[in-house]
Amino acid sequence: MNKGTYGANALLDIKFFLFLSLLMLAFISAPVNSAEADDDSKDGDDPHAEVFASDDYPSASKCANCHKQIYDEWSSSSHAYAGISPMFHKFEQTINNLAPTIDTFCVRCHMSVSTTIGEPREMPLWERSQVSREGVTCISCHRVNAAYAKANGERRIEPGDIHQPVYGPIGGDGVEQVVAEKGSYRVATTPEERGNKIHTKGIKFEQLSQSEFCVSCHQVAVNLGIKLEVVWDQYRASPARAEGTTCQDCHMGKVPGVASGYATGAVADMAGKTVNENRKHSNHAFFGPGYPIAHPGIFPHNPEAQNWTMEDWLTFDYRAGWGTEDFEEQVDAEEIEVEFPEVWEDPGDREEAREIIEANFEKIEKRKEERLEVMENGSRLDGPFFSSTPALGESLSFHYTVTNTNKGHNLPSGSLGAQPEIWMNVALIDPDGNNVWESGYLDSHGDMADLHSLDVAAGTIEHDDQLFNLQTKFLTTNVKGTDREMYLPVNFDVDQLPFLRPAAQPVTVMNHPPFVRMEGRSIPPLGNRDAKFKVPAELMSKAGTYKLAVRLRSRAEPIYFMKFVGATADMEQAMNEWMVDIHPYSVEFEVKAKN
Amino acid sequence: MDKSMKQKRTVPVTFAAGVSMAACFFVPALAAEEAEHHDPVMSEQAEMIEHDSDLFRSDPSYEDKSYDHEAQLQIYGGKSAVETTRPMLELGRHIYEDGPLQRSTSAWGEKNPVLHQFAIYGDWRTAYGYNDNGAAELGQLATRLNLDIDYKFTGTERLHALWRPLDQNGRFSRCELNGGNDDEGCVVEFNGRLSSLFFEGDLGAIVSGLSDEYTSWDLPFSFGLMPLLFQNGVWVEDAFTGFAFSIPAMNSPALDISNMDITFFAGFDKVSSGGVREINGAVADDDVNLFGVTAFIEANRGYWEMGYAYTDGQGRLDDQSYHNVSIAHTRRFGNTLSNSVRVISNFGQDRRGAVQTADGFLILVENSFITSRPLTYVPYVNFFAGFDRPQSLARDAGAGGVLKNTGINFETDGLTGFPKLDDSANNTWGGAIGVEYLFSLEQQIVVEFATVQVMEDLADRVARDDQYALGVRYQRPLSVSWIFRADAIAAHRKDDDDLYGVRMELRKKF
Repeated sequence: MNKGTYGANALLDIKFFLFLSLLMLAFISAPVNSAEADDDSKDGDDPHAEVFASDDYPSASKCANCHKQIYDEWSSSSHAYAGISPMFHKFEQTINNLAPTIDTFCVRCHMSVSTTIGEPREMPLWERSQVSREGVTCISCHRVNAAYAKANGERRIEPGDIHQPVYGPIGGDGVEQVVAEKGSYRVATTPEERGNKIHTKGIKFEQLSQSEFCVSCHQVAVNLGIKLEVVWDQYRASPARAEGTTCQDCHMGKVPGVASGYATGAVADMAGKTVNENRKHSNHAFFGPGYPIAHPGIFPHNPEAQNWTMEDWLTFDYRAGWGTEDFEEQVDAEEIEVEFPEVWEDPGDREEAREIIEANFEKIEKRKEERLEVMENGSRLDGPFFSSTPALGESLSFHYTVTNTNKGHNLPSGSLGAQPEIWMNVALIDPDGNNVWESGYLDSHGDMADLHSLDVAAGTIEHDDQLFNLQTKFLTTNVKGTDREMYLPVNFDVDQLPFLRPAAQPVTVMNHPPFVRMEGRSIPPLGNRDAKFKVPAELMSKAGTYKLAVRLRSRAEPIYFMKFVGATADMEQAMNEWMVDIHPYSVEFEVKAKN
Repeated sequence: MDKSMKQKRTVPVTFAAGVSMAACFFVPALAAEEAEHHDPVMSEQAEMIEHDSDLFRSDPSYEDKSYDHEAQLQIYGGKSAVETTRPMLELGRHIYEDGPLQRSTSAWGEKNPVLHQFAIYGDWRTAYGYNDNGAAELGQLATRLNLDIDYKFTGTERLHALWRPLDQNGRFSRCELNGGNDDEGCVVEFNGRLSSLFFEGDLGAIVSGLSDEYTSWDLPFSFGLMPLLFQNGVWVEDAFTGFAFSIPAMNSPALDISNMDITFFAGFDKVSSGGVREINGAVADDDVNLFGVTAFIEANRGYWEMGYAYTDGQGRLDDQSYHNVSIAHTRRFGNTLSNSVRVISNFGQDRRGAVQTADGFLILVENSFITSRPLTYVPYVNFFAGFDRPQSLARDAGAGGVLKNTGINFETDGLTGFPKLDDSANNTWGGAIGVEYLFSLEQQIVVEFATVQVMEDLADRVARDDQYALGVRYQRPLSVSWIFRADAIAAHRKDDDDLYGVRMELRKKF
């Protein structure tokens, strides 16, 4: 041992002392331990035990007794879907397998109550409490009373039974009136009373109607500073913000995607009696582009579906037509032979289940109309614009212009961790009715024909060289050299045990953490972009009338990403079935021999 | 040209344009379009007809797929617990743990809630290496400990420090076992100094909290001894004492920029520039100031990084002051190539007759090929050409040379003195061609050949003559906290001693 090397450097540096002193001061001046600081927890006890044993986190189904319209709107929303989403569960498991230190990060937003009450992240969904399965449920927002900002989903939900106060954007005058006349409204304000159990107080929480309230879950970075949601970033720099338009104005207003005021109506209906008939009504469908791909028996939330368990529902083959008239007739006539699970052996049950499925499909269809409205209200498509008069035997150059008419954020925006897609599909039809050229087509799996297409990799289809795709990409730096596209915003080239801890650098001034970044290709608010195409001359070989058909296509997740996380075939099918075509239209034009 | 056609030119994004983008951001946006349905504008030759979605190729068919209820059950019931590693110490709110969150306090204002989270984490690396760096041959067991100390108290504000107690001044706690000076034996290089200590926050959040009014702006900033890393470490990889702030998340409809950040930074101590040296040739990391700006721009289906800085030598070092400009563009081309092109240029140094230490320019062309396994099978070929004495803006002594990101044969291990090729880009050109395979993202093998070719006279460069190297790296986790890694290099240097090295490392992350 060389003792000499201990020398003067063994003395702590002044900065180190300063740092330690600051830390000590901070911890002396403030409570730091959850159990000690939380007056809802008992010292020395597992804080989970109490909440597991209590009913301190009421389910949306309890709120539905008085707030039926809001419940109905919410029940098919993306918030209600957050905990049911099969992609969420597949993705969450995959990223935990690959980067275990991410732990409950995803669940904290998607299943806020579940995480709060300490249900393990891997717990089967059907073993979780009802309120946990509700994802972003009523109390996820209306039991929050601190003005969180970039909290990355870490919002405290105030515990308390159904009678405890809730927080809203207006105040509690309506509740006050109902409580004062509880007999006539037939409500109960204590556990012992009979009637619809209600909260006894409504407290105004100003942030709830401000855009800043959405930030904690919609501007999200995971440790190292990897941004997964950047809607706030985009909104902060937007004309909408400058004009005072809030997130709620477009996503909870009267018209999907447009700030055109709010509907009015009573917030609550108690046995046919209401208060405040003309109060502002915020639509809890939360208009947006997302859509569900879960089994239609388990989503949208439907109280009637609770006659069966989630596991029962997942064995119900809704795609084969179980419970439909045609199907059941064929079964009766022994034209088809089906081995039903025990729970679905009774045709009456199957028919009843089918009714629920159809009711849920109706809701999903309505959601589809709303999201199409959101997308079309927020964008515009013009074209084709020909570079020169189309001529026989000459290449055809043209472009379309996509405009983001939405003042609030980029097109597309949203949960970029899911890598949502908007791309242009354009097809040229020759005078004989043949599709002679196309861009934005899908491979046999449903992916665009780009570098992620399995068919392109296998050489069975051509790469789509002219693809117009607005999807944001995650990039990681190679072991040496440049970056490459990666399905997860996690670098595996540095080492294969990536830890997601607070970064060693001040990453907020570096644009991105080391060796991981996001590359936006979206169109900024009120911006536009040309999608340029060129059809080779040899395909313009016939004189006559040609057609150009175009559409923008919106899909919540790419299929290659779904395969990466182990999605089922049914999930892939639903993802493709429910995507929407935005601004679809066709034109015709003449192609003549050049004089 | 069709008269009705809308015209839009893509403006070449140059450095000058980049610097002016902050101004562009504040230009009023294009007139708002009414969110209402409209008929599309188009060329006069085109005429709208009834739309038929059958004109497109069909979407995938699932007719042959039957409903698999077992697979559906697995979605929600087949999840599994994953063993993970907790930090060495956690106080307050634990990182990503479940359970109820404590009530926040309002010490920094109601609109900037305080929630304490303190953690100590990092890694401990121990390696045996037998290396011949040309000058000496040495087998040694060396170790280093990196302790990250992080105290986060609001959503955006935190203090962070890095303490490396087992190494100092490039020397690691070690036992020299073979070769070298046998008298050294085992040495503990205890170090009480912090390698970094900085505050990071958002002025917008702080002002919102203190004034109880939301600001319309965000302004991330940092000060202290802060490590910065720009352009994957090629332009900056250094910790210096100073400050930095960003104007984040801008966009430009006019320039079709999806996202843009501009960061301003300054350093006043521990600025390590290879272009500013003491008389003995050592990098002078005090008496050097730094003032710079860098922009990150996502546009053109790729991204741009550009920066300018002035390195200001003080007093006796005044004649080594110089300007540093860098621009880089990264994007993918079809399903073939991922590419970055970087240029660093140094100019403006006036040595008054002495030898220049920062001049000329460096071009880096980094490529990787997109394969049928684009995530895990990555062939790459990176080229460089350095003319005169190009310098990164700032490089920590342990960060290696400006070519560190060109190939594994240009990188030492920061522990055992693993040899590398000349990484100065001082009147040399060359590159690295290699292949990386990541299996199923759970292990890694890299094989690479690299070369350095010399230009100009011997007196004007570091490398004596041409160099060639073959390197290999293998790495895989052994558990949820331990990683094994092995590296080897064999290099031939014309007119100089050859290089050999082999090392094995165990690393524990916590």
